[in-house]
Amino acid sequence: MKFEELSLQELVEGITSQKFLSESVVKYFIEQCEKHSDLNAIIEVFDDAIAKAKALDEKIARCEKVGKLAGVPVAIKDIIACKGKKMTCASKFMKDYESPYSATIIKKLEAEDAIIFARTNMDEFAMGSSCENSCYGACKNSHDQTRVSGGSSGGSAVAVASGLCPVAIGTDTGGSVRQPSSFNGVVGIKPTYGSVSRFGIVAFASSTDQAGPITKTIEDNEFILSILAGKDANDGTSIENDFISSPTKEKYTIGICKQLTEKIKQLDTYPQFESAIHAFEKMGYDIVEVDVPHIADCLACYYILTPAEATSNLARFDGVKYTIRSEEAKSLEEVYVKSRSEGFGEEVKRRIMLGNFVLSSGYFDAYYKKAKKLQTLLKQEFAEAFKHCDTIITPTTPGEAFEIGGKIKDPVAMYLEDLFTVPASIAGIPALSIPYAKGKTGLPLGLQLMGAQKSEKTLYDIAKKFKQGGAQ
Amino acid sequence: MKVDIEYLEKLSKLKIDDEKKEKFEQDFEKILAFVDDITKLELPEEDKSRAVALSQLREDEFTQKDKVDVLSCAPKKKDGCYLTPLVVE
Repeated sequence: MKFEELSLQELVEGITSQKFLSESVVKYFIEQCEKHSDLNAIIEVFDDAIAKAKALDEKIARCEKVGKLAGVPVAIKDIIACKGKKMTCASKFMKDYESPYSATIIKKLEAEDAIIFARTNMDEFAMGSSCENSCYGACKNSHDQTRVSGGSSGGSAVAVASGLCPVAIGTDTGGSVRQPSSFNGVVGIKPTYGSVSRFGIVAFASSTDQAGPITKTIEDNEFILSILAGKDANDGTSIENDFISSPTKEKYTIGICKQLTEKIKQLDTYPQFESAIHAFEKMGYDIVEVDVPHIADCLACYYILTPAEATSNLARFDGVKYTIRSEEAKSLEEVYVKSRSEGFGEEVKRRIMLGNFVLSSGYFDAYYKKAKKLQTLLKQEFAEAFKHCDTIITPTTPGEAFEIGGKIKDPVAMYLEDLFTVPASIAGIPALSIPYAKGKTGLPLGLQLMGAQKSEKTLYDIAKKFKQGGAQ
Repeated sequence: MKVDIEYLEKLSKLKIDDEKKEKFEQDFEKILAFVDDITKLELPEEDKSRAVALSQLREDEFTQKDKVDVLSCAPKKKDGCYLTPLVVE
């Protein structure tokens, strides 16, 4: 049986009704991971996964109550702590790190009897848009191995798209779930900020980091998010988001952001985006133009705020607390400088230094403080825009997945990849990417649906109806 | 804008390899040019509403039940402490 063709509900039903064993499902996906190791999506398959699946099968055979994800194998990004397992953030700095505790989301998945079975490739410390900044080497696109997977959660998106797992968890700070989902033709969401606990997830930029599921279908995605979401005493910024019980509507109003129109029209993929708008029109939805006056400034805002936070968050990697210490270090100062210089990759160094620049005396007001003010304004502008529409749609990315090596030497070109994804991160609103068309070279394109705070249900509902309404 | 990379290295406790320094500086200046427009914007005051209100803080009591060995991944340790080179002779 091709287990990757089943929905999560079908997998759980099959396992709990003993039509097939969790052990068989887990073994099947491990085989797929081995067969497609050339994609470089999976860093490690956990050696206790089959034993855990067997234990669950026995529990089912004894007619004991099991959870909503009974026996389903889940792959996690290499930045999420799982007790007793290695977690490296795809960095040389963390190469031998073993998590002494589990992230809240891991506990939630395990409480529903999911089998955490593998960790996935990513850009080092989640900094990147191509999954090329990894100490394990680049992860390749599931549709064309000469192209990037997208990033930073590239391994998670490729693993789902290539049938190496039925669901993977990624994290999204400025598009790191949505962009690779778009590049690989799968579904990914960045939830409302705070909806999913950050406890046990290595921090990149604490004010925008959010974990989100990557799945093949919209239904599966909604199902997993409903398990991950919820307030957590261990994360002071977490919130209650019972999106699943929000009401839905027959017809929705689709917003197009006026200030992005020109940029979108210049894209090669504009015809595809235009046909998506027509599809919504055919469904009888109203299409309205809305204003988010400062949306185009989001990218600059993002590349000031997130390096500033990364600088503080990555100060803990000092050669004293985590795994690696430079062999050459003689003094404490050398322990810090040599360990960090040897351990961090180029992009991480760049962002730490950029963060220190915008926080340094003489530049703090002009850059960091200005960006914080802009963030406030953007939240207000989005809140105002959502009084006139249920969602604002954009392409998830400016184009199809680009070639491996194509942008890695030009950081600004790489940062421009995040043009459409960072606004939702800055504003803390949910944004869903769904596959909707193919580009010129036949690679998948994603449509992004942004919504007001806690409007995940609306986004999922619009996306489902859009798919039923005849989109590709 | 010309950037003092040595000063940023000092702040960051990092050292950029000499052969990579020139390209690093050029890229850094390009990035600053890219984010620079933000400095010209006229903007209202920052919202502090995301900050945690004092009333939202939990009681000051020990809640962690699972013992976590924070030293388990330290590169050097001794008698339950992190070990570093001598700071004071």
